[in-house]
Amino acid sequence: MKSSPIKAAVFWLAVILPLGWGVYKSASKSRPLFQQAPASTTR
Amino acid sequence: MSFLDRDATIAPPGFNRWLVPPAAIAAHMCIGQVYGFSVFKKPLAKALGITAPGPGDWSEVQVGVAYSIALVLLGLSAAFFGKWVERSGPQKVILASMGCFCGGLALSALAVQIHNIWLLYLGYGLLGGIGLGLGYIAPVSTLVKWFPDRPGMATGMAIMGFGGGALIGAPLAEELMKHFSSPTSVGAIEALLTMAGLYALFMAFAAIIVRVPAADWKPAGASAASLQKSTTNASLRVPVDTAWKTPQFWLLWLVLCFNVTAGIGILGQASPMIQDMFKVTPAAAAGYVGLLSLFNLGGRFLWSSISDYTGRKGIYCLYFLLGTALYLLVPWTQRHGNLSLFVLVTGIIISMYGGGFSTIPAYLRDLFGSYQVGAIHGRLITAWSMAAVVGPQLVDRISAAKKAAGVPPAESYNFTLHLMAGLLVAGLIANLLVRPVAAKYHLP
Repeated sequence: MKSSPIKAAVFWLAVILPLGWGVYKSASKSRPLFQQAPASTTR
Repeated sequence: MSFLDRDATIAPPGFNRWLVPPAAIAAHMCIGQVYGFSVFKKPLAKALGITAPGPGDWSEVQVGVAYSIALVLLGLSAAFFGKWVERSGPQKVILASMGCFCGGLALSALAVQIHNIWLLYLGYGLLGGIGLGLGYIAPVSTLVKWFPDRPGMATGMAIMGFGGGALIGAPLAEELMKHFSSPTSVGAIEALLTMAGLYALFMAFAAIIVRVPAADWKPAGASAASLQKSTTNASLRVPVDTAWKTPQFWLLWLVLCFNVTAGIGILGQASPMIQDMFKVTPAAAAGYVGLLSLFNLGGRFLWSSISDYTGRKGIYCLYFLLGTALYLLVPWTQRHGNLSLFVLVTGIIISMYGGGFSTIPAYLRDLFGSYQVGAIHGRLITAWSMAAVVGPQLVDRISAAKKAAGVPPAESYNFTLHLMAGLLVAGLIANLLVRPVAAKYHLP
């Protein structure tokens, strides 16, 4: 008995989508750091 | 309920093992919410005053106690229920975890509604903490059995989900509280109830799709060499009651404890540290914390997967040696005003902190076999609980004492950073002392 690859894809999407949302939110939150970085590295 | 028993979840021949990691990741993604609990601190501390803390409102410290109780209960329940978890199989355990964790969130909503802090401790701390412990070890132990040829990658996938839980849980709670807030409510009750419902759905999904391999199952397509090497280790049978009496168990306990404490040295004070050391804005500091979460998430999968090639002892030597060097480098980055290097260095440290969590179950499996690895992992997690509660206190008090003694804020973290480097050296020594478990401890 073989497992359906579509089923596997659906299962993976169910976890990748919320994880991707969390990563996106964290990456968005970190943007101000990169905007700050050039000014702080020069003394 | 026999349909929930372990035997009822044994996968049929030809079952694709790649269907199982989403179950483990989903369960861990839900319980990983605990790392994002801090977003509830401020709203719950003004639940009565709404716009600002009012008379009778809880303090943020009081609210934070619920988080500490949950982490302590995580370790205790994982240690206490570990044997039951192995016996019952992942389906029943994930459902039990769902009941405790989501029930804990619902009780927390009730605690806010009737404004009873003890109910919050009972709900989020005690009941939720038990849910955390159950939900943490069952998926890890299941994936280790499905991937005997890549145990590091397997544990990395599951525990990466836990790290991801924080990335999802914190912004989800913020969005929900924003949505439900009104002139008469901070929106926490509705947010907690919505999260309880959403997480229950996800954990039910995990419980429905999770399967365990048959006793004689072998992975198709795994190379003969890797399979022979891995199954040699996996076939060891050291029961949990014996394992925790071996020196190897306690050496790994120290390894995990030191690795976690050292990571908390950065994580626990990340925001004030970067503001004091580099004078960045609070918004940029929040961004730095977010970036560290991403390093933490990535490290959990990356380093643990690499450990399948380097060996577990080798990768921990790398965590400790490289970690020590990087910790010693942090004050240098401050002295030279190099913010980019500071972010990179601390990010790598946090990635190895995450890697330490995800590699430890594979290390246990190498030493004690997969027979009762979930239960053994459960007892080892007490090291994390201790480090998670004691570590931040230690770091906060040292930094505060240095500032009170007149040390400039930018340099007040140096002692802590050196102390963390020292802890990593102690962890390295413990790791180097680990030897294979003596044959007298193995079951025939």
